[in-house]
Amino acid sequence: MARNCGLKALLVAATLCLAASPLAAADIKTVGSGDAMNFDASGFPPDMKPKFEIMKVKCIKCHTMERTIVAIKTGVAPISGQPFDRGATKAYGIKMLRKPDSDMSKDQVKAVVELMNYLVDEAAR
Amino acid sequence: MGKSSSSAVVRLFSVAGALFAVSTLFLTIFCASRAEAIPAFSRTYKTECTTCHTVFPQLNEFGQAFEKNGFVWPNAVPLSKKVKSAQTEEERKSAEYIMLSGIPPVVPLSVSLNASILYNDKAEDNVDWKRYSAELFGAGAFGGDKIGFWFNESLGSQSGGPEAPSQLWFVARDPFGIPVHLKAGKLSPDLSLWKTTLNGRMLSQSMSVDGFSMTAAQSGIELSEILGSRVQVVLGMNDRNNNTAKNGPSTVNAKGEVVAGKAAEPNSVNDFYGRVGVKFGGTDYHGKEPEIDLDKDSVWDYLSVSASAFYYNGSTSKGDGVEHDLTRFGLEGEVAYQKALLMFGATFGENNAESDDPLKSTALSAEVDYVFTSQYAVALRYDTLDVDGKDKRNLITPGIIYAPLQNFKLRLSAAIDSNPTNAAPGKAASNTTATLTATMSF
Repeated sequence: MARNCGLKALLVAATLCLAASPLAAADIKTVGSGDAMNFDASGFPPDMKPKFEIMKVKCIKCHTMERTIVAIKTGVAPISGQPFDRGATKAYGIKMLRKPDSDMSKDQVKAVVELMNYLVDEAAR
Repeated sequence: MGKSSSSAVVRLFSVAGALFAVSTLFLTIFCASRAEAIPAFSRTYKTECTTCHTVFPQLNEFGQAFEKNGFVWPNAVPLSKKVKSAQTEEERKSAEYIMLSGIPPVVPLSVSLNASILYNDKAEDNVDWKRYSAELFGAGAFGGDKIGFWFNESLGSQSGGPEAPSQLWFVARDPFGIPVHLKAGKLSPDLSLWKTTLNGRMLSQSMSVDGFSMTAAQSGIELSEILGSRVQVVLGMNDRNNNTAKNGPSTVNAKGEVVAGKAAEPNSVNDFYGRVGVKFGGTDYHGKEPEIDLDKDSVWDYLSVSASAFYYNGSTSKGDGVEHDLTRFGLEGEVAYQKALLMFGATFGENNAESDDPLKSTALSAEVDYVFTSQYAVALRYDTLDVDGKDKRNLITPGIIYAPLQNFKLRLSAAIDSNPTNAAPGKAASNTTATLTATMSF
């Protein structure tokens, strides 16, 4: 009897741990709403924070960050309806690299693509 | 002579520069700083104008792919799939009624308004302030993206300036499962890599000889298909019986009068044409971005090269009731690298008159555009036209564009024209004009 209770307690604890950590990471946190919506970078790993500094300046030159957030959270590019996955992040990065107005270097595009890949993976967890 | 010409040019640029400065100041003070574009496609797809344009109406690579795809977003997910994958009930209902009814999701109409001031160094009244025009256009896709359409019509022009040829056509995308786009209606033959450039259509595109202009809208049928992803083939046939007005572009003569483009005479036989275009590098004709290694630099990261050749066989009449066979052959090329674009075109024509000697014509054009940002761009073009070795015209057209909003622009351009009327062989006049045009589309 006591052994069963111990097992139950262990299972409950394990379930709570599982529920707490991965699902919390899967929720891409944002701040603001509408045109002012942005990622909440406070929970980003240290190596992603400099990349977010590039993203938050460059990506809003032509469109709102909300468009990027919707694509990453839903896994669907809002205009074309195509899947927004790791393959798409690079294609969009290349599109922005070649856009005259973006004023982005290759290193900056690479950094933003890596950040989007991280966010896509987090959203899919 | 030289001194008076140079002083005229100095005056011309002084007047135009002052107008540009005043207009810019006005806009800076009174216009909103937020760029919002709302013409038909922008509304339909909820995206900004620069998705498809460098500075409207010039198309960027993606815009060209969109147009070649029958005004359907390249590789977009079909509506039927959107209905199934809708994440909310509202989204599902929205996608479903559009799919079932076949109608476009928003009324796809737009209006373009133009107001311009023309300075002409040879006119009695050097400055013409009364140049206004408006144009209605609509375009889009419906029926589950199976049918695309386009129409444009002038709502009126007080200036008598150049009018775009009115068009009304439909394009069936892969009809009956056949992998070809079938366009039918009143359409401007697709004989060029470009719909327009930053400086408008080049002379090699719009060459008008004996009242015949290839860009004139005709009633006809056109088949087009993209082979692989980087070759486009176009075949067309048209009936010029319906083509009686709005053909060659209007010009301004030495007296400052606007001379309407010559209307081609109708004929009783059909014209045929074909074009092949190919593109190396850059976004392909399906709108797919090139593969780029983000760790290594390559010249192809930003470079694209396009080439096109066309042939047109038809006939025209000079009003003498006799049909004259004509042919046109043309080559075009484009090199794009980052913010710079170099375009060149050559058109060679032959009109068989009643005499044994055919009327030979050649138009050569070259233009370089530089788009600093979507707000600022400059263009410089050189055109030359030679009709039968007698009627020659050289045209230099510099232009500066300032687009404070994506749907509003100011364009300051000059035209140094050796023979603006192009009407009197061997009697070339010359003039220099400057135009400040404000254009708004919504």
